[in-house]
Amino acid sequence: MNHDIEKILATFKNITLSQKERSNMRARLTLHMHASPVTFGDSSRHLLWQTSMPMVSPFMNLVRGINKKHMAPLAIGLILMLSAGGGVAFAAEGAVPGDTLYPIKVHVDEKVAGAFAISENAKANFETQLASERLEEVATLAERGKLDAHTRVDLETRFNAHVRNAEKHIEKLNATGERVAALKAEAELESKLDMQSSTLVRLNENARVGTSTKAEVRDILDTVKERAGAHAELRGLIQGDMKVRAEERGENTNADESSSSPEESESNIRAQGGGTVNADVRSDGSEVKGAADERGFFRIKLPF
Amino acid sequence: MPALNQKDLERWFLEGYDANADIVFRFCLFKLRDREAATDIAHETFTRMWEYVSLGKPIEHFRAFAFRVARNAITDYAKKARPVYEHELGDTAAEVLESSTFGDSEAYAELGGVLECLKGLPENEQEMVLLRFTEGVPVKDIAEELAELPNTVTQKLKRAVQALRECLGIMPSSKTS
Repeated sequence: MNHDIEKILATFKNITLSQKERSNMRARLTLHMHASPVTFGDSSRHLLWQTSMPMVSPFMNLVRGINKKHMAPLAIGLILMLSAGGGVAFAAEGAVPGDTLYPIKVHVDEKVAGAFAISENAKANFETQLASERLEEVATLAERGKLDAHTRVDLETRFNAHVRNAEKHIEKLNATGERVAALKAEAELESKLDMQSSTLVRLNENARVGTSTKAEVRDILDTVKERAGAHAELRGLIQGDMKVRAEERGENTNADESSSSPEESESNIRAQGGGTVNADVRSDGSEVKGAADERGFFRIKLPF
Repeated sequence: MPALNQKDLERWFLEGYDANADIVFRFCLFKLRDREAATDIAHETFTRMWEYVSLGKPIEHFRAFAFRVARNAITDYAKKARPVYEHELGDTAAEVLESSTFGDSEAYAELGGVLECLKGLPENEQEMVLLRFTEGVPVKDIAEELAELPNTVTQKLKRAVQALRECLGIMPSSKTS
């Protein structure tokens, strides 16, 4: 035996992360850095990783999240809601920035709905839905010729915040080993971004839309495309992770064999909101396409 | 640390990651004996570090801070994991190393033995030994990172090597660190 302990310890340096592990970790870290940007002065966010913090009711979070400056429209909204039996809240669903009921939509309707999203999966899908909703509002305002720079910046900020929240929940799903759920949530987010991106592109080609509105739409379209690109990368990482871990466990990753494990080989993705929705799911070497059936369900056999 | 804006901070942080990813991974591997868990905890370490710096909190020594965060992450991981009984703990350090990307099987046994013994030393001595003899960090830098005097680090390293020799049953030699 080599008695030189220092030389033996020096050989430990030969054990490293593989190139793939290192670059995967770096890409995930980069995404996390974008999802949790610098927020100097906000001392509450570090609590995210204190798992011992007491559970706070989602309803208390709802109450704490209400900004004081929104209290007046909220109070009116609540009175109206109570007197009209929820009719106002329902009417607020289609509101866009500038409408009287818009504060009710974002500060009451959406916060109440969000309080019922308990699991990480439900939270990710809820934030995805809100991100999509903000883009629909952009499209509606652009069609009406009411999209100015101020409104666009406001909606873009809200859109980015919802996407970041969805990313955090997806990341948590992935980190806790719920990789199939993470992949589904990721596919849902990517599909929504693609769908809204197509709507905005069509809008920009519409001759009836004014030049200044088109400039605003182009700005937000760039943001959406950038986000969609990052998500294609994240989905690839989650898929790669699943594949690597399956291989490390010695599982057969052949598509035919994997069909015996319905949880990992099949994916039901609910196509919300009706209409025609198409999706394609790509793995490293193969591609599967699918379309929603008349009930709005996808059934895709994933190739891993 | 750079000026407090997102872009500069991201660049600085990723440079720190590139320089220390393998070092943190090896530290986790040494502690956990499980390559997959070590990779996860290394990732968790850098994620937590970003959460810290993104709040505007300063990090003086990236590597020393990474070790401290990794130690906490390993403790949290151990708390969450179900208890592992000694008879279930199949992999010795040598077996774990053997399953890594490393060629010479005799070297596994030797390194595995040294690492097993290293676990018996106090935490800060373990770190000093790994930094000095595995990562090749000069004593002066180790002293600065761990807020010790260089002479103290030298003394502790000598004592640690002696303890490792005794643990491995190696007769004292004239050569010292």
